[in-house]
Formats: sequence, C-alpha cells, structure tokens
Amino acid sequence: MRITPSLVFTLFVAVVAAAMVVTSKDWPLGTGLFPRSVGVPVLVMALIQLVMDAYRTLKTTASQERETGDLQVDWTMSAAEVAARGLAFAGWLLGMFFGILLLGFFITVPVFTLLYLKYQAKEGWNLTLWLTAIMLVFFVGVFDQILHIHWLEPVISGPENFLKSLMPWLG
Amino acid sequence: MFEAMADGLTALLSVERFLFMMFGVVVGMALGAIPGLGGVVGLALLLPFTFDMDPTAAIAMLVALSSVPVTTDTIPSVLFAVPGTVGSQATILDGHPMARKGEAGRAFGAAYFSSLLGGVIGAVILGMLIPILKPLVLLFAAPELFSLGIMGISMVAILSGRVPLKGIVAGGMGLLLSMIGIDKQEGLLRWTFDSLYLFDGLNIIVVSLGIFALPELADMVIEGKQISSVPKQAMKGVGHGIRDVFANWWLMLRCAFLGTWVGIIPGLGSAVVDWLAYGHAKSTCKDAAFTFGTGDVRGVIAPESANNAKQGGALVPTLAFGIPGSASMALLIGAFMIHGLQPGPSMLNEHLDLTYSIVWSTAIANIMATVIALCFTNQLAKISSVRINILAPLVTVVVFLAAYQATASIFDLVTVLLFGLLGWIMKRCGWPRPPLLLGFLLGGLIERYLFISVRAYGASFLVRPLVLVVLAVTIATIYYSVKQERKVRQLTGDTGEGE
Repeated sequence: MRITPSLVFTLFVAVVAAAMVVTSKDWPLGTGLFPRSVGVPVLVMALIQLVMDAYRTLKTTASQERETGDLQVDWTMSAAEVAARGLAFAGWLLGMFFGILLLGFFITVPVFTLLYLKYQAKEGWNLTLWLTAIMLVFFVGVFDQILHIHWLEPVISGPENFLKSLMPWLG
Repeated sequence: MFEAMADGLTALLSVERFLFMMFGVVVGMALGAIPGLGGVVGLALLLPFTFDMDPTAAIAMLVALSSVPVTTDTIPSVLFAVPGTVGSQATILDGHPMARKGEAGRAFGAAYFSSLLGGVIGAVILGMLIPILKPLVLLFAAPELFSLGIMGISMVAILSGRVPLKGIVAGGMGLLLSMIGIDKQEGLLRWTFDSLYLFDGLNIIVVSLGIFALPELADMVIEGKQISSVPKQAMKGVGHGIRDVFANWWLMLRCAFLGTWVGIIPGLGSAVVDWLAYGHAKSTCKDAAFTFGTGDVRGVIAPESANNAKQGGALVPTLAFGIPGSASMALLIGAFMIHGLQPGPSMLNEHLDLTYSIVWSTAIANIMATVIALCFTNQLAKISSVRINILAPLVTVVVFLAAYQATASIFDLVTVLLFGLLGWIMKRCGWPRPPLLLGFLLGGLIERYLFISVRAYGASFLVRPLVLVVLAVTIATIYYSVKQERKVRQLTGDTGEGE
C-alpha cells in the first residue's frame, strides 16, 4: 500500500464522518435520528472507499480515478510545480484575509489589487493603477454606497479611521 | 379572461410603466452578474422606493427585477466558474469548460437564448394555469415534497461520473453539513461548537463560492494561462449558441417545464432546479455520459432554461395563495401588501388584469434582458482571452466581498477559504464536488418534510399515490444512469476494476 494524497483525503472524510456519528449519539431522537441515519451509511461507505483506495493505488490508472463528472484538471504539470504555485496563491488569499481582519476592507481591497497586479502579474503601473481604481469604485459604489454592507471593525483601526476622516461618506 | 390579458398588457405598455419595468430589468441584470447578489438584494433595495408609485408600475419593476438575474448569472459562471447566483451552479460544469475551449460566446448565446425561451415558457404556463391553480398546488403536501427531495438527491448517482461511491459519500457529507446549526424540530444545537456564526447553519452562497469559485481560480492561476488559449478569431460566437438551442429544442422544452414545475412547488427553491435539470439532461441526452463535464452545450441549455422558467412557476403559489416559495417571492408579497393587494383569490378575481400584467412583465423582462445581454456577449467572451493573472485579483476581491455580504461576519471569509481548500483537494483527489453541494442544498428540505410527514401520516406517507409515482421515477432514473455508465465502461474498455 502506497500513501497517496487521495488516500489521506479519504481517511480524513472517514474520520470526519465518524466524529459526526459519535458526537450525535447522545442527542434525543428528533435531533439525532437524521444525522445518525445519514452518518452511519456515509461512514461505512467512506471506509469501503478507503479500503478500495488503498487497494486501487496498485491496480488502476490515474486517469480512471479522475473521471468524476466534475471539472477537469490539467495533469500535465508536475506535482512540485502545482504545489509551489498553489501555495503562492494560497499565500495571496491568506494575505487578503489577514489584511481585512487587521486593516479592514477599505484599505485591503485596493492594496491587495495593486500589489497582486504589480508584483504577481508583473503589470505596468498604468494598467495596475487603472484596474485598482476601477475595483475601488466598484467596491465602494456597489457594496458600500448602494448595499450599505455593515463592515467589520478592523483590529488596527487607525488607517481606516484616517481614510474615513478624509472621505466621511465611507462605511 | 382574454379581456383581462389584454388589459394587463395595455396597462403595462404605458411609457412610464414600461420605463420602470426596464429599470427593473437593468438592475436585475447587474445584480445577477455580480456573484453573491441576486434578485433578493435588488428587491430589498428597491422596495422602499415603491411606496408612492403606481401599483402596476411598481409591481412590474419588481417582477422584472426578480425575473432576470438568472439570465446574467451565467456570466461569472461561464467565465470564472464563480456561480453568479445559487441557480447557476450547474451551468459551471459545462459552461466553464466551453469558455476554456474558446467557446464562451457560444455558451453565452445558448444560455441567454434558452433563458429567454425558458422564461417565456414559464410565463405562458403561469398564464395558462391561473384558472386551475388551486387543485394543482394542493396536490403537493409534505410527503410529496419529501419524495421530491429524495428524487433530487438521487441525482448524485448521475453527477458522480465514474466514481459513484465517492459521489454517494460526498453527497452524504453534504447532507451532514446541512444539519449544522439549530435543529428545527427540537431546537437543539448540532455541531455548532458554541459558535454563534454556526447557529443558523452554513450559508449556501459562502459554501458554493468556496467549493467552486476558489478552486477553479486557484487552478487557473496555477496553470498561469488565460481562461481560453484559443485565438480570438477562432472563438465560436453567439449565433452558434442560439442555433444549438434550436437544435436541442426538445431538451430546452423539457427543462423549461421541469423548471416551472419546481417553481410551482413552494420550498424546493432555485438552488435545486439547475441541478435537477442538469441531472435530467445527463441521464437522457445521447452520449451525455461521454461529453457532459467537458464543455457540452446541452449541459448549459438544460439548467439555463429551467432556472428562468422557475421564476414564472414560483409566481403561481405566490399569487394564488400568498405562499412565497423563496425569499424573493416573500418580498414580492410585501410589495403587493404595500400597494393594498392581498395575494390569494382576489388576485384571480377582482385584480385579474394586474395578475396578467405580472405574467406579461415576466415574459417581456426575459425578452428584454436577453436582447440586452446578447448585445454584449461577444465583448464579454473576449474576457476569456485576458491573462488570468490580471483577472485573478479582481475575481478574488469579488469572491471575498460576495462571501462577506452573506452574513457580514469575518467567519464568512474563514468558511469560504476552508471550503475553497476542501473543494480544491476534492478536485485534485478525484472526488466529485456537485454531489456535496446537492446534498447540502437538499439536506434541510428532506429532513423537514420527513419530520412533518412522519408526524402527520406515520409510515403510511410512503404509500400515497404521488409519492409512489415520484419514487418510481427516481428508481427508474437511477437504473437508467447506472445502465448508461455501464455502457460507457464497455465502450471505453474500462471494466471498473477495483470499483
């Protein structure tokens, strides 16, 4: 048996299903009946899938495993390259998330757009500034001024408060 | 009746009312194209402004606004695999691969035109059903709705490709995820970990954005190309897509009827209709098992005709009984009441002309939306040739904003990131994502109607005639899809060893 990412994920699914079944065992009938009647078969089938995955890693081709009825993946790239680029993009997503958490949407949205276009996409200043401005107008116009979304209070509120003092109609 | 139909149309065609209706069309189109928003947001925004308006103009504007977002929600679905509204998730499965093959224009043409025909068919059926609404809607009680939920979940068998066991497990996990939050029967908390955010359960917009949008965006960024590498000159255009709809008119018609039917039944919701239509098309179209999921235009026509037709169907219980089948219909009822109209029998008697002006509004709004959308299709299709690194930050910001506006909590962003990671791993590890989403969508509905059915009828709810019919259709569908799958295996020489 060879440990593959697919096998590890199937094990993860089985563990989650098991945890859901176990935690539902003390619930009263009305609350627990549906979770248990779905959870137990899911757990059993996840375990069967786990055994099959362990067995199949030796027997079937990758292409057979990938025909899932879902959108297709480009398998021509090496796993190392996929991991490196995937991690880089995950880094940008996490950067955006923590930016929003720490500095708020009004600072993070334009800064993220500008930095990504300039340093990841390596675009010229002209296009970068134009697209950042368009994104900012769309974000403020639609989500702030029309929809009046309630924005969360950032952890470091100084920069956003300064921005709002310059543009009091924001947020 | 014909006099009321004519009066309804005449009332709508005054310049002022028509302009208000067109305003509703334009706002609805804009909201459909922005992921996470939709008709509900638009109705909530415009409702307060209708207080002093003429009732016919106000209702026409709001009906138009709620009818057309499902036309333009195709744009982000096809270009970026980001569902524009919850009703356009299934369109991604073939619409996005079409864009990647340089056929974005064709996908848009097919989607808009089938949306137009679906919307008009839905309106026509609504108009025809007005005299016989009551017995039709009363046919469906909790047991029948439960059996329809089971029929919906059976689509997992069709949506799982050649990994049925993974599909069933994914569907089951979706059902389990739908149970997170307050249990509606006993009022107890399930898997909330004392988090206030989870009390109301996971939000469907956030989950679908995470499961589909972020993984597709990540894969496009990883590949580092534009959405389509086909040269602009070779891109197939909108005319091709329109011809596809005519070539598949019978599929479009079937799915439009299916969409109207789903709309008529309160409680099934727009999030399910596209998957039902897609599953129906995949199980009935010739060679669909080979081509669906790889950019088959029939996989676009089916959900798009159904989700527009559903809007007409959803007006049936709203107008006849004042039963809103969705949040947007609940807001429409609010609009009726603001203008002194009581949904129910009076809408079919003394206000019949207004009821028919609603039917006309639905039909005309769909036509106008398609005409406007078709004008911009070829320009939109060109976005697929822009390098993904330019589009990625813009799409990322829109996905984050769309997720955040769901409940305005930082946990919306945590959830979208976690489901993004889950979706990406599922895709890479050969686990189908559509069954997970289908299970999540249907879980609450199945549990609710099962509980009501057992309480009201005991085990005998299973032998009600319509329940038996729906369950028989479900079994036949599963049998047919398994047979199709076997045929594919035989033709491709795959014995399914180890399966």
